Amino acid sequence: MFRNYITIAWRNLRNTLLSSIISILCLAVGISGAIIMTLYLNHELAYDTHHEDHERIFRMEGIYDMAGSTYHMAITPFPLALAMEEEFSQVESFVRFFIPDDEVKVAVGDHEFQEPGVAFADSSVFDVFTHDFIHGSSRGALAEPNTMVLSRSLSEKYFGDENPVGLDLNVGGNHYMITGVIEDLPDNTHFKYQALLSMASQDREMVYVIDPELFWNINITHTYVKLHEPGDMARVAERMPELLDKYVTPMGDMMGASAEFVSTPLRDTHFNPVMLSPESGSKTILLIFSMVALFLVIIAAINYTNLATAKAATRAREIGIRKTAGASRGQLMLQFLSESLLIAIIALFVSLLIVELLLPAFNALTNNGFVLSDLIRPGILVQILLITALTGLAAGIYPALFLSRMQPAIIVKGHGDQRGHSGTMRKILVVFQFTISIILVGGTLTVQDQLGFLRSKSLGFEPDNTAVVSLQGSASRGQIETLEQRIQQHPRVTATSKAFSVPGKGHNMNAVRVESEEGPQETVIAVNYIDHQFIENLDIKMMTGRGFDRDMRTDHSQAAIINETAARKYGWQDDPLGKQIFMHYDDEGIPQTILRVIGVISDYHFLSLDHQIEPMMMIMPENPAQFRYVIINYDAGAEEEVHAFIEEQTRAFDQALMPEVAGLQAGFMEAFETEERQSSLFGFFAAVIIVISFIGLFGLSSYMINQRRKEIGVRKVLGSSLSGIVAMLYKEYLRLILVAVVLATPVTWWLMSRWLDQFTYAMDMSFTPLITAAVTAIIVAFLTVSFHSLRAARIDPVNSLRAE
Amino acid sequence: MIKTVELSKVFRTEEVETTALNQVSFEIREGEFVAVMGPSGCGKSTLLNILGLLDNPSGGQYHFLDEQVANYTEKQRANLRKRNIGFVFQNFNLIDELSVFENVELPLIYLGYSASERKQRVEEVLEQMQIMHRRNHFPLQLSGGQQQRVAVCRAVVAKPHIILADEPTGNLDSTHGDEVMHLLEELNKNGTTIIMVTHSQRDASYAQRIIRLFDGQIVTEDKSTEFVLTAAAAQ
Repeated sequence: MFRNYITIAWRNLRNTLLSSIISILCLAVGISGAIIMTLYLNHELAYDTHHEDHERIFRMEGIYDMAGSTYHMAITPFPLALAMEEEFSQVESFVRFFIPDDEVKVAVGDHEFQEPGVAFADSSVFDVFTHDFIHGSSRGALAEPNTMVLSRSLSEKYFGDENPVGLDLNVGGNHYMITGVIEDLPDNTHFKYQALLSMASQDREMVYVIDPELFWNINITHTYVKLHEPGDMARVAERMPELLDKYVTPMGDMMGASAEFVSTPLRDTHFNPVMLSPESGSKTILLIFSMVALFLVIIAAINYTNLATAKAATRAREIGIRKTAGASRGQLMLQFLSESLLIAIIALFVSLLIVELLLPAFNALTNNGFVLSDLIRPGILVQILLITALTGLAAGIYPALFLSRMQPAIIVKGHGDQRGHSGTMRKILVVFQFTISIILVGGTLTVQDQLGFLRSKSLGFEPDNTAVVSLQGSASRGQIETLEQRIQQHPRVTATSKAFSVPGKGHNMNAVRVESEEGPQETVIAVNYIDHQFIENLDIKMMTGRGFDRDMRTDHSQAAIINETAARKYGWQDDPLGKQIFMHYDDEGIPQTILRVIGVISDYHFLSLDHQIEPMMMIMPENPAQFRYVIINYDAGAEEEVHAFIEEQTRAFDQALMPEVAGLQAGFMEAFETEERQSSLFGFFAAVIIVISFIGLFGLSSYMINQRRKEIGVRKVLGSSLSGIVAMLYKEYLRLILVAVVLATPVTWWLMSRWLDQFTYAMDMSFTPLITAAVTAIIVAFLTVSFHSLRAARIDPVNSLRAE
Repeated sequence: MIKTVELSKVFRTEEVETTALNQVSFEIREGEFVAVMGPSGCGKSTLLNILGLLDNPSGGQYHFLDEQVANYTEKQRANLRKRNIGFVFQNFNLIDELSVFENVELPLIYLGYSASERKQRVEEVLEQMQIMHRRNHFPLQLSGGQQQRVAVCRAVVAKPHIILADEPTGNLDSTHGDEVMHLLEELNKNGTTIIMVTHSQRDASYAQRIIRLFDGQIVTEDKSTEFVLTAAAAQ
C-alpha cells in the first residue's frame, strides 16, 4: 500500500511540476534554516562541556561594592582560591588565570606574531580542565617559572610539524621554555586560550605573587574551582560569609568597600555576561533565533499547506475514486502525509545544498566555523531527521485532514471544487506569513536605525583623523615622549598628545572623597591621566576654568579637570573652581593626594555608548610613564600614510612593541558588535522568510486565479475591462496584506520598544521602519499577484468557459 | 438484498431546500439486473449514491444485506462498501497517475490483500476482460471503451455482491457501449446483482426490471423488458 502512495506521490510531483518545485524549494529553505539553527543551538548549548568534570567546575565571580556602585565581575582577588582550598574541604583543586590586557607579542626567529589568547595559569590547570597533550605531558607542565604550553595550532604556526618541547620562545620580551603542546580548544569554550604561561613566571615586581595574603584588594585573576561533587557548591556558598569575615571584610572596611563571591557552573559561564568575562553569549538571542528558525519552518510548511489545499480541486476526483474503491479516511490521511513526507525528504537533500552555500555567510555573521560535515555527528543527524519529519508532518497535516474529509458522493460527479472550506484557512495562513515577514523586516530596519543612531551620535570629542598607539605592558613606557617626538616629525601629523586611557577604553575607577558643605563625601570617580595637549587636540569643550599648563608646577598631580556630570553630582555647578578632591588615604585615614579643580569640560563619552556618562576627572601626572597611549592628529586624507609611518617608528623605537594603531573611534562600535551581528542575522533570516512568503504567494495566486477562470470569463463576456478584472483580483490579496500590516504593527512596536530599552542611548521609536516594511510587503505582493492576474485577465473568455 | 422504505434525501443550503428523493420504497433481490431511469434532476444519482453507501439518506430506512444502514457513519459505510459494492461511472473515474494494473489493484489494496494475491486477482480479471495487453498503460493512453473496461475490471476485482453503474455507456459510442453492456450482462449471469442508472432505452433493455423516477418519486416499476420497450414506444 505504501508503495502505491509513494508511486502516486511521485507521479503527482511530476505532473504539477511548478507547484512541486515551489513546495520543495520553500520546505528546503525552511529546513535549511532549521538545520543551521540546530548546528548553532547545539554549539551554543554545549559550551565547555568537553571538560570531563565540567559539572564539578565553577567560575568564581566577585560582586564588589564601592561607594554606592556595584560591580559584578568575573575576576577575583589573587588569594581567593588558596583561601577556599584551605577553608572548604569540598574544594578538590583550583586554577587561576591572569589574562594580560592586550595581545602579547611572540617572536619566533625573525617573525613576530601578535597573539590574543595568551594567559598565565597555575600548573593545576590540567587537573581542573581536560586537555589532550600532543607533546609533553600534563605532569608539571607549568610548574616552573618561564615555562609554557602551546596549543596545536600555535605550535604548527611557529614550528610546523616539529615537536617544540624543550625549545625556547620569546613571549612579550621574556624567554619561556615549551613544556607541552595541547590539542586546540573547541570553538565553544568561553575562554579560548592558545598559550599558557606558568603563573610562577609572573613579573617579579608584582608583589602579590610573593605575598599573596596581602592582596585581597587586587582583583585581577580569573578563578576556577573544582569540587568533589557538583552539589557541594551549595555548602561552599553557605560558608562563604565565614571566609569573607576572615579575609575580606577587615581590609574592605578600611577602604570603604565590600565584596562578596558567587559562583557560576562552568557550563553556564557562556551565558553569564558579567564584567570582564572572556566571552559571553545571550540566551535571549538564542531564544529569539530559535523562534525565527521555527517561524521559518512554519512559514515554509504553510506554503505547502496552501498549495496542497488549493490543489484540492484537482485531487478531489482521485480522493472520490479511492473512497469508492474502499479507502478509509485514515488510509487517505496516511497517503497525503506520506506525500508531504516524501516532499520533505526531497527538500532535505536540496537543503543540504543550500546549507553548504549559506554556511560561509552564517559563519561570518556569527564568528563560527561550522562545516557541512558537522551534520554527520549522530546527535545532530537524529535532530535533523526529526526536523525533516516534523516539517513534513506539519506541512501535510491540514491538507490530509481537509482532503480526506471530502465527500465521495459529491466528488465523483465532478463537483470537486470545495474552495469555500479551506479558503478561510488559507487566508489565515497567508495573513500569518505576512505578519511574521513584516515584523521581521520592521524589526531589522529598527535595529539598523538604532545602530546608525549610535554610529552618528556626537561623542563630545572629535574622533576623525586621529590615530592611537598603545604602549600597554611595554617596558618602554618611560620613553613615551621620545616616541611622540619621532612621530611628530611626519609632515602630515598636526598634533600629538598622551594619556593613560583613550575614549572607548577602560578607565580606572577610584574611590575618593570630595569637598562638600557637610565635609568630605565618599564617592567613586573615573580617572584619566592626560598631558596638557589632550583636551585641545581632541577638541573637547572647556566649560569653565582652564586646561593643564605644562609649565605650572601645581598643575602636575595637584590639579584636576572634571566633567560636567561630576560638577553636577557634587553640587559644584555654580562654583566648581578650587574645589578639592581627596584620594590615596593612608592607614590613619589621611589623604596623600589633594587635587584642586582648575577646570570643567563638557561631558564626552569616555566609555562606550552602552554606558551613561559618569563623573570623571583628569590629572596631569608628573611622571610620563603613567601614559599608555599616544594620540596622533593628522591631516584629513593622510590616514594610510600616517598609520604606516607610526607603525614604522614604533617598531624602530622598541623591538618588543607591536604597534596597535587604530582610529580613535574604533573602540566605540566594538561594544555593539553583538548588535551589529544580530542585525545582520535578523536581516538574513528576514530576507529568507520574505522570499519564502512570496514564493508561496506566487504559487498560491496561480492556483486561486486559475480556479476563477470561469468567473473571469463570464465577467469579460459581460463587458468587464481588463483593469476591472485585475483590480478585482488584487483586492483579494491586498486585503490580506493590510490585515497583516494591522496585526504586525503593534507587535513590532512593542517588541522593538523593549529591545531599545536595553540601550543606554536609544533613538526615539519611529514609524518609518514599520511603514517601509508594510509598503515593501504590499509592493512585492502586488508584483507577485500581477504576474498571474494579468495573464488570467488576458485569456480569451471563450477558452476559459469551454474549459469548465 | 436491498430494501428501501420511504427513503428521502433533502439537500439544504442557507435559503433553498431541495427534495431529491421523496419516500422511495422498493426492493432488489440478489442476482437481479435493475435499471433506474428518469429525466435529469429526478434523483437518480442521489439514489445511486445512497444505495452505494457514498451518502446517507435524510429519512426512511435502507436495508443492505439485511442490515439497516441508513444511519451508518462514514467509517462503517466505507467498510461495508469496500467489501460488497463495485462502481462503474459514466466518466470512468480512473486515476490518471496510476497505470491500468494499479487502478484495478486499488480496491484490493484497501482490502488488505497481499501483493502476490493482488497480482493474481488483477491479472485474472484483466485477462477475463481482454485488456491484459494494456496493463502498463495509463488511462489517458486508452480509448474510452478501453477505459470503461478497466473501470469494470476495477469494479469486479474484489468480487462484490453488487455493481452500481452510473450511465456506464454515457461517454461511449454505440459499439463500445454495447461491449460494456455485454460485460455487465455476463457478470449478472454469473450471479452479480447490478443496479444501473441510465438515460438509454437501449441499455435499459439489458435489465430485467426498470425503476422510473420523476421528481424524486417512483412512478413505475416495470417487470419486463418487453413492457419497457412498449412503454417507450408509447411515449
